[in-house]
Amino acid sequence: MSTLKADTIVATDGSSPVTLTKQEAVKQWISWDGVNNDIEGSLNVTSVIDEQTGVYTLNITSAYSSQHDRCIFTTLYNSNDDGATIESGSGRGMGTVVVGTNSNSTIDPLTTTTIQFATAYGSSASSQGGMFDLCKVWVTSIGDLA
Amino acid sequence: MSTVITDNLTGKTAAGNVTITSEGGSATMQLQQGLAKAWFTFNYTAAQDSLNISSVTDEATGHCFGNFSSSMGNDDFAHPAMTGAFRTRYEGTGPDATTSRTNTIETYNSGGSSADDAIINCTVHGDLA
Repeated sequence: MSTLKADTIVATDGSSPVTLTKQEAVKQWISWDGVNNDIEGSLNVTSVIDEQTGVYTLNITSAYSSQHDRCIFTTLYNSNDDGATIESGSGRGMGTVVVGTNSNSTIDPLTTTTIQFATAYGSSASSQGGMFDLCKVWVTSIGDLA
Repeated sequence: MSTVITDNLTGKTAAGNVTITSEGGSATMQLQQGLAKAWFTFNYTAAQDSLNISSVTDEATGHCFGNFSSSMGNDDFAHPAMTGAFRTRYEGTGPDATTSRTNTIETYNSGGSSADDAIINCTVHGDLA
């Protein structure tokens, strides 16, 4: 078995990225506490702005190369207190909105340095599903950095 | 084009820190931070394929969680999940994620009842111990 020790890996031109066969690294991830506005852990995240209840702007440190060419994954936790209580109404389902415009026009389009996302109830016959804060939201994204 | 053939990559200064350059060449990032530290696909019978998962525990109907082979360094990792036919959320009253397991993934049907799904996919991003 051989071991290659290096601090930095670049292509032979001295600056271009090296190809990692069968690997595609995630370029950003975050564990976000929307109740306490706390970044619990992250990669390539400068800050998160609490825009309003359940709506956040995630600021990326090293920009993506394009506005849209990336995959974004989100999952949330159906509690606002670290697991002691399930959110009332959670049986309707909860969702994260990561791009586009919602019914209140509060979600901005993606940029190369931001992902605005929201946490909301699912809709029902009597409710559109309002935004609300949750204690854990996980957001990861994969694509090309600038 | 040159190719380095090796079995291991280790940081020279710090073993757990290897820097790579972005696609556009204007940024660098730590290689280790960008790699998924665990993932699994589960069908409520067995973990069909996985990385760094010793087992997937079937807690109850529509409730499961992954157990890590190599522990995470803390419990603040991100682990988004996606399922096949049903909706997904992380169960709020179950134990939080620890360094040795994920949160409980709950799948439920359109009526809001917990239900087993044939496809559970989960990835884990954060620091290994």
